[in-house]
Formats: sequence, structure tokens, C-alpha cells
Amino acid sequence: MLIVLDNSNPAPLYQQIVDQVRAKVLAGEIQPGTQLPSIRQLAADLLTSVITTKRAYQELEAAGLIQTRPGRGTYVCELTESSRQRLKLAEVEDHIREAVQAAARLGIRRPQLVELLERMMEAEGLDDE
Amino acid sequence: MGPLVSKEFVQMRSQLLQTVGFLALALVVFSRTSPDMVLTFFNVFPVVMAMTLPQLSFMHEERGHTFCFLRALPMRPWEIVAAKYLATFVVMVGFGILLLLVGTLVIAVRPTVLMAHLTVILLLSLLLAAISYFFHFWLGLKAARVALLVLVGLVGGAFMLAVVPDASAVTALLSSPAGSS
Amino acid sequence: MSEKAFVLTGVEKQLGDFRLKIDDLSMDRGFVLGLVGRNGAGKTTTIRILLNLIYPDRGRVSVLGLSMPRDESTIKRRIGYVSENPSFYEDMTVAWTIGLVSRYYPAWDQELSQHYLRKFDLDPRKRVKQLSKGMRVKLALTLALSHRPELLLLDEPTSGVDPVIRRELLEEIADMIKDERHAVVFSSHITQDVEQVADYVAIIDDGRVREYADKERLLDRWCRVTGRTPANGRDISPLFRSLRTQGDSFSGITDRYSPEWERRLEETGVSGHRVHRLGLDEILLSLSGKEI
Repeated sequence: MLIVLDNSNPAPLYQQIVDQVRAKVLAGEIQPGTQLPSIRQLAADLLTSVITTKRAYQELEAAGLIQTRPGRGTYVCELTESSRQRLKLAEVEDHIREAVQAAARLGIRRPQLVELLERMMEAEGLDDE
Repeated sequence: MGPLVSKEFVQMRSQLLQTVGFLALALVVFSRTSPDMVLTFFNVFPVVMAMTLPQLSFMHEERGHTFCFLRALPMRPWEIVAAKYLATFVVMVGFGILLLLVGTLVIAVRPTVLMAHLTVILLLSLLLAAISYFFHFWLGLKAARVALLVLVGLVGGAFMLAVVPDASAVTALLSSPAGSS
Repeated sequence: MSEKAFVLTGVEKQLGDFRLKIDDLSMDRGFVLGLVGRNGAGKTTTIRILLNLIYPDRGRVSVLGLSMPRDESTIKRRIGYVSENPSFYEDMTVAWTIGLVSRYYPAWDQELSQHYLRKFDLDPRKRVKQLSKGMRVKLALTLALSHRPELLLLDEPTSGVDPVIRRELLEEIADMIKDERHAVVFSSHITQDVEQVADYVAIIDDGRVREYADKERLLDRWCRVTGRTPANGRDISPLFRSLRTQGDSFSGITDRYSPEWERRLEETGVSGHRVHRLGLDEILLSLSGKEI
């Protein structure tokens, strides 16, 4: 599993792991049922601490993306279409929340923000259906 | 134990070579100028070595911070001490044999006399070396120097006068300034 | 087998003006402890006490379930140690040094030491005085690892070495900890290394342990919070360790960040607040009383 940690990234290391695993699962790069490395193995591979990988796995498990069976290992969960959608939305939600908070700080009004959003969706070719 | 002892020799090799050179030079000079002094020299030399070898050994360890290195190993402290004693013992005996050879072959002193003489000196010097190491391990390098000087000053002086074979020559030497004035 | 890698209880040591006082410090096996602190804070002293290179004036020292100094030799045989500026017999060769050290460890694996020599590119025929600082550290690491220790103690291993060697060192630490019966304690003033690879962090300042926690929890708690001060003029400083205000905006450091704390902050009426995790170096600065 190719995960790259970036020390200069302000996001905590465990968060980077969570984000990257989630992105790969949602994109289908890692198939459901795939076994993930143990927290110790992952820590050694990424040159980080067990506490960090443990935290990352805990968050991924809480999000319903992975499941650890004691003595058997950690596996990527089979995701139903609805949970997949929910997770994808959750990821986008984080980004949108940041944008909205920034707008609030800067005093940008709701109509301006909505217009900006519409323009961007148009530019990126987001489907209507 | 082996490597601990061998490293003593390696550390001191340049100083040992210098000492052999000095020994050779001194013997050549004395044998030409005053043969009596040769035997005095034979007495003094082991004593001086007994004091300097522990000093040298400790100086090397302190400069290289190697005591720390040894102490971190699962080694019993007595091994470090024993290795130093053993190395000093070997060097002293080595020099003793060297002096014996030189004495009998080059300067033609009677071997049995010289051997008895040297054995006594050697044993006393080894005792001094043991005390010297004791001071070093107990007091550290600087304080040991002072302690040794005091000890040797008191004991060595008296010792030399008592054991030198041609005592009359030495006492004559010592009394001449008083006599001439 | 004891669960704890080491336990220090009521340990005190006076060294000239400096006094080390550790009431309670311990860690389970299977983890990496990073000791962080300024030069002279007591990191090296703490590590030396674990090895009995320094005898505490008071207190109990237990390593790998055994008691120091009673079981000193047994413990030392199961520990690998790399000191700051490792010293060796300068005139002797790398091979001789390995020969000397290997005699004292029954568990010494000669093939493993050869493996490390090759891995670290160390020429056994070279004399120690010909080695650079980085090579000495690698030699020390070879000596420390070749008897398969259960506990690895590293005193400032990454300071003064090039990034390649730093990386190799971190790799060895990570490799060591794959076995959950092993443990690593390393001290460093390069907080980035500790942040990356440590499971637990102990911040030592002026001879005392100021913070000791699971790294992620520690980094969660210490945050810089910025935003606009409450319009009603409420004093928000009790919530912070240190606070700076300019006009209607503030920037403060807290060591107690949590969702609960954030709720209390919101109750005061602040607006537009942002929360940033602090790095270990900033935490250290804050604990040392510096403005950050």
C-alpha cells in the first residue's frame, strides 16, 4: 500500500494516513477484502510510530472503512453503495466546511459564496444527475 | 581479557619504543663514562617505569574517553584493572630481561649477581606499579600523580641508597659538594 | 516477562549545580520513547541512569523487569547503547573493536554483525581514528544491535550526522520495534525525528519531566488558537497558557485542547477561531517559558 507521509504538511501524520487510505478505498485502488499491514508493519514501513498508525486505523475503523479481527488482521470493509456515497460526501464536506469557515471569517455573504460554488462546479464539469 | 591487554601494548607502543631507545642510549653513555652509574641506572629505571606506565595507560583512556566505552559493556570492573596490571607486568618483565641481557653481555656484570639484583628491583617496582594503579583508580589521574611523587620521594630515595651495590661511590658523589666547600 | 521496558521511581541525582529529579517514568515494551529537551536538561543523565553509568542518589531503577544495580550485568547484556559522540580505542581497527565487544555478549551473532558492517559500509580493517563521525555512530549501532538487544538506548544519535545516516538510524529504530517485546529510548534535540518515530514523548527541562504522554495525545492537547476576541470584552486568558492580543484578534497557546475546551472557548463569545497543532519544538519552547 503506497502511502506517502509529508512532515512539512501541517496535517497530523495519522490524519495523512487516514486521508490517503480513505481516498484509495473510495477510488477503488484498494479492493474490499484486501488485508492491510499490521500497525507495527505499517509503522516500520512508513518510518513512523505505532501510536500513529494505531490512531489512523482507529479512525478508519470508526469511519467504517476497515475492520480489525483480533489475531486475524486488518481488512478493508465491503462497502455498500450508500456507505460509499456517505463517505465520499464526508470527505468533500471537510473541504467545504473549510471554505465556508474562511468565507465567514472574511465576511463573504451567502449569495456570493453560492455563486462562486456554481461557477466552480460549471468549470469542473460536475454532473447534474 | 586478551584484547583488553593487547590494546594496552598498542596504545603505548610509541612510548615503549622511545623508552627502549632512551635505555639503549643511557646504557651506552654510562658504560663509557661511569660503569658504576650503570648499576644505579638499573635500579632507578624499573622504578621510574613503574610510575610512568600506569600514568600513560590512564592518560590514554582519559583522552580517548574510553573508560565510558568500557563501563557501558557488561564487563566487571575488575577486568579493566586486571588487564592493566597484566600489561604492566609483561612490560616490566620484558624490560627486566632486556636489562639482564644487556648487563651480562654488554657490560659483563656477573649474571647471577645481576639476576638476583634485578629480581628484587623488579618485585619492588611491580609493587610500586600496583600502588600506582590503585592510586589512579581511586583518586583519578591528577591526584594520583601528586600522591605518587610524594610516596616515591619518601621511599625511593631511601631505597636507592640502601640497595645500590657500590654504595661508597654514590655516597662519595653525594658528599663531595659538602666536602669540597 | 515483564511488561515494562523500564521503570524509574523517585530517582534523584545531583551533579554539581544540576539536579535531576524523576518521580515516576516508565514505559511498556513494544514502543519507542523520545526524550526531548534543551542541552543540559537531563536527557543524557536519564539514559545513563538506565545503564548504571551514573548511580542515582536516591530512587529505584528497574530495566526489563530486573533491578539496577543488582542485576547490572544481566541487564547490560540485553541492552544496546549508542552514546553521544561514541568513543572507541582510536588506534585499533573496527574488526578488533567488534572482537572486543563481542566477547561480553553471549547472544552475539557474528553473522549479524557482518550484515551490519556491509549494510553500513564499514570497512573492518579501518582504524577507528580514520572514521568520520557518521561512521562512528554506525559502528556504535552495529555493536549495539549485533547481540539482538531487547532495549535500545540512543543518546542524541542523529545530531551531527548527515541526512542519509539520520534516515538509516530511524530505519533501524523502526525495524527494532517490529518486535513488540523490544523497546527503544532515544534522546534528541532534533524534535522532528522524535515527532516522526516516537510513540511516547517525555519532555525534560531543568532536570524534571515536564510532560510525558502518548505522542498523538500530546500533540492533540497543545494547540495554537487564533481568532477574534469576544465583542463583550470577556477575558479569555484563563483558558490559555499564554495569550497575545492585538486589536480585536488574539493568538494563544493552550496545552489542554479538547472538544470540551473548544466548547468553553466558544461560550466566551470568540469568533472565527482556528486551531493549529503545535510542533514538538514549539511545545518545548513554550515549556521553557519562551514566547511563541
